[in-house]
Amino acid sequence: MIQPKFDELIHAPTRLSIVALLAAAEDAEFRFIRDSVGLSDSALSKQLTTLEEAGYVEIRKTFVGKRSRTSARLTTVGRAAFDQHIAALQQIVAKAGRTVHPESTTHENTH
Amino acid sequence: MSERINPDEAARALAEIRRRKEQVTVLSRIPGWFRWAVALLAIALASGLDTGEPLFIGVGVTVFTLGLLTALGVVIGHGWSRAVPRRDLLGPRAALVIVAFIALILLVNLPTTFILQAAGSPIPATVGALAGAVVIIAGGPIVARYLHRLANDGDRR
Repeated sequence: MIQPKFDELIHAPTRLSIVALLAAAEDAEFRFIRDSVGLSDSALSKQLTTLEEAGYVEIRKTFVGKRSRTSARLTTVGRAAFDQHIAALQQIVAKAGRTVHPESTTHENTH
Repeated sequence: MSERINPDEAARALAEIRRRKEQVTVLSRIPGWFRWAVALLAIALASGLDTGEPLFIGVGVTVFTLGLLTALGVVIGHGWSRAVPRRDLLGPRAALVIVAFIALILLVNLPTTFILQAAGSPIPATVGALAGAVVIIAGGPIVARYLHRLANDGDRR
């Protein structure tokens, strides 16, 4: 049972998108995150550094031949915080008596 | 702090999380051309076997092996160079579906081959492979859609 815990650091819109991407992946390339979220290199670096400093993300630099590849992954701590954050969001929605439709952003009042 | 977040915002955040998850799971989708490639390679292999000539059998086996490895390399390299989808995203049900689909292909292919062989057909393996190819091409999209749905609905978040 995951204990709901709202996480301010994760909830910031850009970071939520980044962490949600990373949560679905074992590992994601810097360019993939940048293009998916629609950020500049520097903006993404800044956000990843913030998440890294919190211990939520691990950034790796590897070499494929002569080309360097920068990738990021969620740490165990980051994954746990994200799961708790989702549980907190679900709790907020549930308390309001709403159902979130998984395939869209719409929701309805069940009462 | 969470009291400041209203249910609408929380619902929007959950929807955003699902959208981002889909962006990763779509990378594990097998492209349509891969099914055609596997089907054609299987037919090429079977055609080689049907000749009974060691040279053609060797060519068929080589083309099949190299072709399959190349196709797999392209599929994995293309998607996974960007992000590697989480291993537990699909779960054991997906593994069962994949195994069942492979079993279905073999269940169509092999009996067809053996029946035709017993009936004296000159190209039993090729026809058997063609029957298997029909299953791959027709059933592949259904299996792919089901796996994609499993990946996105696997854990409701």
